[in-house]
Amino acid sequence: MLRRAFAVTFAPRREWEAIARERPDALAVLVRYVLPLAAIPAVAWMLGLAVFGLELVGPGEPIARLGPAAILRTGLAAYLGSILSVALLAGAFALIAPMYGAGRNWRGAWTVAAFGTTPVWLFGVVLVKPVLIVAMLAVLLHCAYLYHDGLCALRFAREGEAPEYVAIALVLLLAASTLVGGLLSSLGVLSRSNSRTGVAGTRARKGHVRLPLYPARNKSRKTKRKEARTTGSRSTSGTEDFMELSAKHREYWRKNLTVTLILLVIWFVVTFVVGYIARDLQFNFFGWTFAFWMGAQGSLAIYVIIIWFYARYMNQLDQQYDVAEGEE
Amino acid sequence: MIVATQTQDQFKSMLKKVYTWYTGGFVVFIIALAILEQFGLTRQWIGYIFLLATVGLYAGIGIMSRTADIAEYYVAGRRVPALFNGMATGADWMSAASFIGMAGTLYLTGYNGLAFVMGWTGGYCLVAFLLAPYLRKFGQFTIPDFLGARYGGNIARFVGICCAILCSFTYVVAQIYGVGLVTTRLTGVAFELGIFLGLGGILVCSFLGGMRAVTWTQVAQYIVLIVAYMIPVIWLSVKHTGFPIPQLAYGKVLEKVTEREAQLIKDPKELEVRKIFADRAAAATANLKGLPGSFDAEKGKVAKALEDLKANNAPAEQIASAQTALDKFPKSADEAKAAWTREAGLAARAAPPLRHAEAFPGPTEKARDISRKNFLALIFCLMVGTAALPHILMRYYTTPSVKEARESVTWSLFFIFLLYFTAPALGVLAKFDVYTLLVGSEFAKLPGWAASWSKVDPGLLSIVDVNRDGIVQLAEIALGGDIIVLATPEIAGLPYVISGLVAAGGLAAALSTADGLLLTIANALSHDLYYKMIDPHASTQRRVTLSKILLLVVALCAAYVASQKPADILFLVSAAFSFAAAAFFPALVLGIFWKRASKWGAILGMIAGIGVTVYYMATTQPWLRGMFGVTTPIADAIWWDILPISAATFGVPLGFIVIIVVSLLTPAPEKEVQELVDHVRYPHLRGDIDTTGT
Repeated sequence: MLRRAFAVTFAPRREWEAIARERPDALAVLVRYVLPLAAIPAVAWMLGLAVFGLELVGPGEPIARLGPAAILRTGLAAYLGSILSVALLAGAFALIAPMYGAGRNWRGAWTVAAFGTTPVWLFGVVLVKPVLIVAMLAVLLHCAYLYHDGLCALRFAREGEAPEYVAIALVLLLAASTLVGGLLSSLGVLSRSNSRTGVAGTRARKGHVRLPLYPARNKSRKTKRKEARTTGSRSTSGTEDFMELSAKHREYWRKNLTVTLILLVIWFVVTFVVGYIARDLQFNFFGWTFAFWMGAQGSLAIYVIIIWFYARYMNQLDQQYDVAEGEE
Repeated sequence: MIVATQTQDQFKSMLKKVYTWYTGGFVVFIIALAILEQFGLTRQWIGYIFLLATVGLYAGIGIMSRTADIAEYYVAGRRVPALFNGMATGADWMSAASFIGMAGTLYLTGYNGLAFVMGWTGGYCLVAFLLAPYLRKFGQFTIPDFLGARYGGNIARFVGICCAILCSFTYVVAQIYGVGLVTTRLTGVAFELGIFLGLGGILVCSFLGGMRAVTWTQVAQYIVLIVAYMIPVIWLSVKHTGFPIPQLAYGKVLEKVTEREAQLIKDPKELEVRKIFADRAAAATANLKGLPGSFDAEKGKVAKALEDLKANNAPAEQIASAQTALDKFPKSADEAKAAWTREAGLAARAAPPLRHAEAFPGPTEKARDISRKNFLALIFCLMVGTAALPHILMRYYTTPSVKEARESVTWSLFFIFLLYFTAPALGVLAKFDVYTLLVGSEFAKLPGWAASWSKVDPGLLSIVDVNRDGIVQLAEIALGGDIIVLATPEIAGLPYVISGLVAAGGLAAALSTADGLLLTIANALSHDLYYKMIDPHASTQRRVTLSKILLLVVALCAAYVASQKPADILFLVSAAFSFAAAAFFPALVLGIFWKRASKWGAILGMIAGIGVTVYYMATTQPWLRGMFGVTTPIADAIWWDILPISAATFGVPLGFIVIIVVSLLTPAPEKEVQELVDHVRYPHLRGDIDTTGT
C-alpha cells in the first residue's frame, strides 16, 4: 500500500499504467488503500490540535484551544469528509465522461479519484503543525496533475482534453460541496458549536474536504441510482449529425458562438466591472463624473452599438455560409 | 389598414407614409390645441380632448386592424418590419413606471437610480445575442410553445404557462393602476372610474385585433410618448443652458448642482431644519418606546401648557394655538402610536442631501459595499428579467425573418435608449431648478408650479416652513418622484397643453404595456393551455374566440385587483422582473445553446429558480411577509445583504445549476429534439423541419 502510494506520487506515469492493467476492485481500493491512508492527515490534525491548538487566526489574536471531544469530532469529520470528497470527485469524473466520448466507468472513476488524491494523504503528516495546512494548496496542484495522468491512463480523455476534464470535474465538486454544505448549515446540521466554524474554514482551505459526514450515505445511494438510470440511455447522446449539417455549418455555429461570447464580455465589462469600480471613476468628464456618465449614457450607447454590430455581422455571416433565408 | 396582397416592400413604404402623416397630424393637433388655449379653452376641456382624442385614435387603429385569422391574431401575420417592430417593442416595454417614475427615481437616488437605466436597456443585449433570433426561427406563437417543443411535452409547457401568468399578471395590475392615475389626473374623474375608462381603451385594440391591432397601436403610442417626453425636457434645457440637446448639455448643469450640494450640506439654516427633524423623530421614538404610559403623560403636558398660558393671561393667539394642539392630540393610544410612528419616520429627512453624482454613497466602508452589491444585483436582475419577460420575447415572433428579428432588437433598444438617456438629464435639470430657484425663495413668493402642485397633491410635493424663517430650505421640501415628469412642463414655463400632452404620453406608455401583457396572458391560457393541452382539435375560429373571451376576463380581473389599490404596487413591478428572470432565462438559454439540456432538467430548474426567488421575497419583503405570516426576523432571512427586489440573484444561478446537474443525470433528449435545436440555430437549412405551425 505505501509502496504504491509513493510510486503514484513520485513516478505517476508508470504506476498509472500498472493500475490500468490491474483494474483493481472498487471495494479493495476503499478498504486497503483509502481508509488507512486517509487516517494519516486526520490523526496528524488531531495531534496538532492537541499540541499547538488551532493556529489559523489573525495576527495578534489568541490561538484557539479545543477540548478533547471537539478535537475528536473535527478529526472524525476531516476523515470521513475527505473520503466522501473522493467519492464525489469520482462521481464528477463519471458524470462528465460522455462529454469526452468515454463510457460512464464508475470503477475507473473511483480508481482515479482515490489514487490521485494520494499526495494529500501522504503529505498530511505535516498537519501535526496545523498552520502548515496552507502548504496543502501546493499539494493539491500535484493532485490535479495526478488526476490528469490517471484519466489519460484509464482512457477517460485524450491527452489534450484531460486538463479541461479535470478542471470541470473540480468545479463540479466545489459547486456540489458548497451546495450540500449550505443546505446542511441551513438545516442546522453544521452549526452545532462555535468550534465547528473554525473547522469548516480549514476544511474549505483544504479544498477537498468541504463536506461533513452526514450527507455521505444519501449521496452515494443517489449516485448509484444515477448510475442505473444513465447506463441505459447512453446510446442516444452520441452523434450530432442531423439534417444536412456539414463542417461548414459547424464553423458557422462556432463563429456565432465566438462573436456572441466577445460581445457578452464587452457587455459584462461595461456593466459590472465599470459598476464595481465606479467609486474610483469619479473624475470629471465634461461636467459629469465619469462613473455617472457611463451609467447614464456611455453604457447605453455601447449596448446599442454592440447589438447593431451583432445584427450586421450575423446577417453577413448568414450570406457567407449560405444559411440566409430566401426573400419571403 | 393592411391589405394582404402587397409585397413586403410596398407594405413597408405604405407604413412609413401612414405613420409620417400620423406624426404630422399629431403635431398639428397639439398646435391647434395650444392656439385654442390662448383663446381661452379651459384646462378641464384640454384634458377631456386629449383623453378622447388619443384613446379614440387607438380604438380606431384597433377597429381597422380587427381580425379573426389565427396568425394575424397571435403574431400579426409575421410581417412587421424591423423598424416598426422596434417602435412597438419600445412602447410595449416602457411602462408607466419608465415614463412617469424613472426621472423621479433618478432625482431622488442619484447614481444608484442608474441601476434602472442600465438594467432596463442592457437586458436587450441578452435578448439580441441569446434569444430573439433563435425564437424567431422557431416560430409558433408563445414562449410556453418553445418550452413545450424543446423540453418534450406538456409538463414543461404547463410550468411555463404558470410562470408567464405569474409575472405578467403582477405587471399588468401595476399598469392598469397607472392608467387609472393618469386618467384621473387628466379629467378629474374618480380613480375607479378612471381605471375602467382606461380599460376600455386597452380592450378596443387588443380585443378586436389581437397582436395585429396591438402592434400598430403600439407604434402610434410610441410616437405619442416620445414626443411628450422630449418637448418639455428640450424646453427646460434651453432655459437652463441655452442649448436644445439636453443629453449633451446637462453635464455642465450637473457640475453646478454638485457645487450647490456642497453648499447646502454645510448651510447653517439647512442644519437647523435637519436638527428640528432629528429632534422630533427622537422625541417620537422615545414616546413610542414609552407606550402606553407616555400617551397620558404627553397629553397631560399639552393640557398643562394650555392651562399655564390661560393662568398667565398670555396673548389670545398663543392660547388659541395651544388649544388647537390639544384638539389635534391623538384621541387614543393606538392613534398616538400611528402618529408617532409617522413622526419617527422624519429621521429620514434629517439626513444631509445626497450627492447626485457620487456612486454608492454611505457613511462607512461597509455601507458603501452593501450599496454597491445591491446596485449590481439589481442591474443583474433587471437585465436578465428583461431578457425573459414573455410579452417582450413574443414581439420577436412577429418579424418576417431571422434577419429582421436581429435588426429589430437594435431598433427596439435604440427607441428605448432615446427615452432612457433623456431621463437622467431631466432628473438633473429638475434638481437644478429646485436647488437654485425654489430653495432660498420666500414662502410668500413661491414659483407658480410649486404653489399649485403642493395644493393639488401633498403626497407629490409639500413645503412646510419648519423653522419659521419665511425662506424655503431644501430640507423643508418633501417631494414624490412622479412630480418630476408631471410638473416639468410647468417648471419649464410651458402652456397647459404640454401638461396634457405629458399625461397623454404617460397614458400611452401604460396602455401599450398593458395591451401586450394582457395578450400574453390570454394567449398562454387559450393557445397553450386550451388548444395545446386540453383540446388539440379545436378549430381556429374557436381558438380566436376563446382567446378574446379570456382577454376580457383577465382584463376585468386585473382591473378589479388594481381598483383595490394593492399596497406595494411598485414592488410588484420589480418582482415581475425577478420572477421572469428566474423562471425563464436559464431554461430558454440552455435550450438553445446546450443540446444536452433535458426535459426534467428544465422542469426542475424552472421550479427551483422561481421557488427560491419567491421564498426569498416572502421571507424578506415586509408586505409579503405579512401576507405569508412570516415572523422570523428579517436580519436572519437576508442572504449577503441582498434586498428582496433582487431576489433573482439567487434564483437564476440556482436555475442554471439545477438544469445542468439534472440534465447530466437524466438521458439526453431524443433525436427529434436535437434536430429542433439545430433547426433554431441556423436561419436556413436545406431539408429543414418546419415548426412555425401557421
